Amino acid sequence: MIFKLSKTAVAVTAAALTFTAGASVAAADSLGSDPIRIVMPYGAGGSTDITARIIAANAAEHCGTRIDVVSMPGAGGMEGLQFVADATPNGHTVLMADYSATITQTLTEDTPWAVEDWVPIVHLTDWKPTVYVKADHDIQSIEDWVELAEAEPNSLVFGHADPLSLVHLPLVLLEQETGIQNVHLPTTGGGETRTMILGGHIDLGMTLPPSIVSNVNNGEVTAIGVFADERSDVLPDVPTFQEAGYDVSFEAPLLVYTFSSVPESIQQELSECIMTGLDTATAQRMSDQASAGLDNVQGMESAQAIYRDTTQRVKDVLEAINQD
Amino acid sequence: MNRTITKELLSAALMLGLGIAGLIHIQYGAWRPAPLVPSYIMPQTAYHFLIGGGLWVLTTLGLFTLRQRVSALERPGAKDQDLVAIGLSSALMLGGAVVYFLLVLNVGLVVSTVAFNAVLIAVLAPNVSFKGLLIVPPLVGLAVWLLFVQMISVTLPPALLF
Amino acid sequence: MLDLVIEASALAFHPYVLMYVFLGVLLGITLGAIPGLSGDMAIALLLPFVFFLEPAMAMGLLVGIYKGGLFGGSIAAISFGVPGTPGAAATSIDGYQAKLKGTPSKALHTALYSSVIGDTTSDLVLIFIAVPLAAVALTFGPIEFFALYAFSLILIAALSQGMVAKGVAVAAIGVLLAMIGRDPITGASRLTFGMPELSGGLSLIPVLIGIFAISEVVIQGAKLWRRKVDKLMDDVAEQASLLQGYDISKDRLTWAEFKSTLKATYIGAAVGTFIGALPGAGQSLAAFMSYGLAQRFSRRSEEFGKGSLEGIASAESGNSATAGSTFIPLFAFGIPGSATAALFGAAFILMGMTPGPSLLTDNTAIIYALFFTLIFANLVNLVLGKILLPYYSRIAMIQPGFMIPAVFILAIVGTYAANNSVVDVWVLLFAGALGVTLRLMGFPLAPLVLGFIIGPGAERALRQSMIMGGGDWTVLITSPIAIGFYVAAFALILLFTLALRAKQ
Repeated sequence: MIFKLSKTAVAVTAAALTFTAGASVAAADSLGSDPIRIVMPYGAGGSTDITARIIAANAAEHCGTRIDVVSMPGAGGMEGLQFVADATPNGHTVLMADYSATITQTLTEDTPWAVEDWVPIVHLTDWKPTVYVKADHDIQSIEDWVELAEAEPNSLVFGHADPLSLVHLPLVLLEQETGIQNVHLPTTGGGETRTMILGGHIDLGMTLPPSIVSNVNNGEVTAIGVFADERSDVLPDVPTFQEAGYDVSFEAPLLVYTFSSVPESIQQELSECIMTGLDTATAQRMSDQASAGLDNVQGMESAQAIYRDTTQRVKDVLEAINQD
Repeated sequence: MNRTITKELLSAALMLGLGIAGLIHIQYGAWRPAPLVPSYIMPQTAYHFLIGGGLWVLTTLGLFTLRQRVSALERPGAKDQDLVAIGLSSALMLGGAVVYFLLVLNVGLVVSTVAFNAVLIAVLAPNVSFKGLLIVPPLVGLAVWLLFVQMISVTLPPALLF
Repeated sequence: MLDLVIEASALAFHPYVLMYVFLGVLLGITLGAIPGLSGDMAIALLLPFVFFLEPAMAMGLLVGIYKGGLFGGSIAAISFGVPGTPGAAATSIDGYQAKLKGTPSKALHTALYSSVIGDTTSDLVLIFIAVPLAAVALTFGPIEFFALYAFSLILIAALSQGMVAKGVAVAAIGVLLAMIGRDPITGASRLTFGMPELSGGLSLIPVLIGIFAISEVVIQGAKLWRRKVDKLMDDVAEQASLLQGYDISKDRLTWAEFKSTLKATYIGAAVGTFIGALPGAGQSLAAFMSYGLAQRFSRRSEEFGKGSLEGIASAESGNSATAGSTFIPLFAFGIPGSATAALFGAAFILMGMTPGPSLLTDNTAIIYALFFTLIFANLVNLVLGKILLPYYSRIAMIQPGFMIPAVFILAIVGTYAANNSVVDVWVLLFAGALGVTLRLMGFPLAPLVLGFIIGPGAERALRQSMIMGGGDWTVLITSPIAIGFYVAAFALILLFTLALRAKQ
């Protein structure tokens, strides 16, 4: 949300600022000049928020109008999705979320929309779920973990955020693949997991790389494995589970969606202007600063392909869980 | 039976009713099985405390009635509320608020605010002058517009009017 | 070291930075005074701008908003009985009573001074013992947290003096309201009455504002209507003192009165600083806990709940004393302990500084500048608060016939704007109706809100402990810290019972 509130601040010290929201005059095109709203179904301040604001700051001039970021965490994020689904289908209300909102929740809860109702238009980045332990823990590698868990099933406590979230499903997959068993401990999120790891209350945890980079570099925690096809850019020394011989990879794509009722030409236009905006030097500099990983942004085709893949994968895991 | 006793009996009935209904729900409701501790552990504890509290209120009430000291139960300084007035203001304000917010979503923030504010002042304010009724609601509308639309550009569905 | 101090002060006391601090405090006080809007929200709104500001200026702006917001919340709490921010809920208990007694200025000044004292204490603690305290916070696992929550719930029951049964019952209702939504362990929906809108649970802001504010406004509305109908000014005296007879010169906080609140302020500062450093415990818990403790240690505890200045001082300093210490886990370990800390963490990240131990070593000058700014912002808060208060306490005396409808509308729109949530508005009105009902039946309302705040944390801690302990209940007493809390709780109950006996 870029606000007039901030405009007050701007008025006072316009010189200090290089950019004002909505400064660009709208070019006449099919998107029109009404502001675009990026709805994210999470609270303010998280990594999605930061990424959304990078888009808002850089894509506005290319999309020809102001871009506001709206945080709608109500009803576990469902209100945000509802708001986008109910909006006039003119492309001015888009959703930005990972798969837990559009796929997992849609499959497990009674929602008024189907997974296919969300059309991904931009594939921003892939988050790579990473398993980590405290630096002085007995486990220091994937092999140590599997060995110990096989010797004594259910002796290791594994902290993850919400059940069925993107840092929990990979664990379920790995347990299916290897047959090991751990105690699953839900936490409020990455912050609580890390507190418990650092405090020595639990053995292992899963999170996304940017949130533990500094702890890893400081030698407080050891990241032991990444659930991805390739290693993470910010943690280049940490092996993937595939390298360790377990065929488990579960990256979480961060996507921008429109609802399916939005005409395809507008979807295309939005997709292109966001991508152009993120391809600028300023956008890349911001992305580097915030470790947002926006250096390989992909358009509609890639976004839709990965969305289909992820949907299938989530369906498989959920089925497997329900069979237990 | 005076008002204090009625009030205490009603409170006890509320606590016991809620507690027992909750326990029945735990017994017969569909609760997803959870590892080691049941999903209803906290609600169950809460229901037990509610029932305990209800019984406690009843016991105290019984003891004090026996000793003819019901007045000791009243909180010092508590005045009896005018139930009619509260019923009316609840209906007007809470019910009105539902209508008001639906109007905000469908008609427009400023228009609905001015209208609802005028209605509230007209019904509630004692000795309100006609002038006050004309001036204050637009001012409140302006304040709401400045604060919510201008300063923090609140996210509302596209409105019919202003 | 001296070089560092000079460099940091050059950063912190740059004219632009000072101006941003002023602007921030002004915005914070004003926004905090509006029910439903908090400093947190304003910080979230301004986050994009930290991209474009020098780090010291951005910090000045955000710190100013944060501190102004913490104090501003108490203005609405005292003037209208509507806590402007969750942390001000405890302030409204005594603050609003004091206003009804015709002394809003005293109440507001008490709140301002105790807020600044509590805040400064907390900042000093942050600056000097951040790292050791953070180590303590880290030893809190689920078992210790459950003990802390249980301890707090016991204090709540003890807080509702003379109505322990009803206090326990409403605390239970509060816990139940908090259980609505998703089970944190299995993810299943529960107690949602089949409504998917409730599966995300009830948010704090609508429940808080509904229970405390909407119910109060509705009851005030009833009084107004009654007066209008019988035109019988049976509250003539009250009316007169509120409207015509209000004399601000008689409503000055005297030095003796200020001194009498100092003990409560210190209790609040200590409790708030401690609670603030614990991740997830929050401002409201700190405010209510210091309120409860101050009441127990007060020589005039019977005045609590009836407009006691000590009550205001303890709640407000407890609330504000979380301001500095909430950064301790963030600075030391990169763990945001509260929503505000999370937002500041995001701001650090946006400015290219990663929260955590490296924050201090990599950006020493800017962090020291931030420390200076934290202290400086308190002075600004004091000065601006002092300048603005006379106006605010007059606003509090505007004819209620006009004020109540306006407050009611602001509370509704403000609640919506806080989360852009329609469901929150319905929850707000429902909570208002519940609050009216409970008030009519003579239930105290503070325990309900506390139960609501503590419930989810307590449940998660309990169930996490049990999962980690393999389902064995004795796991709850395996930690010395936890045992300490249980012993303290037991000792406090014993103390309170004996004190009550002695009184009778």
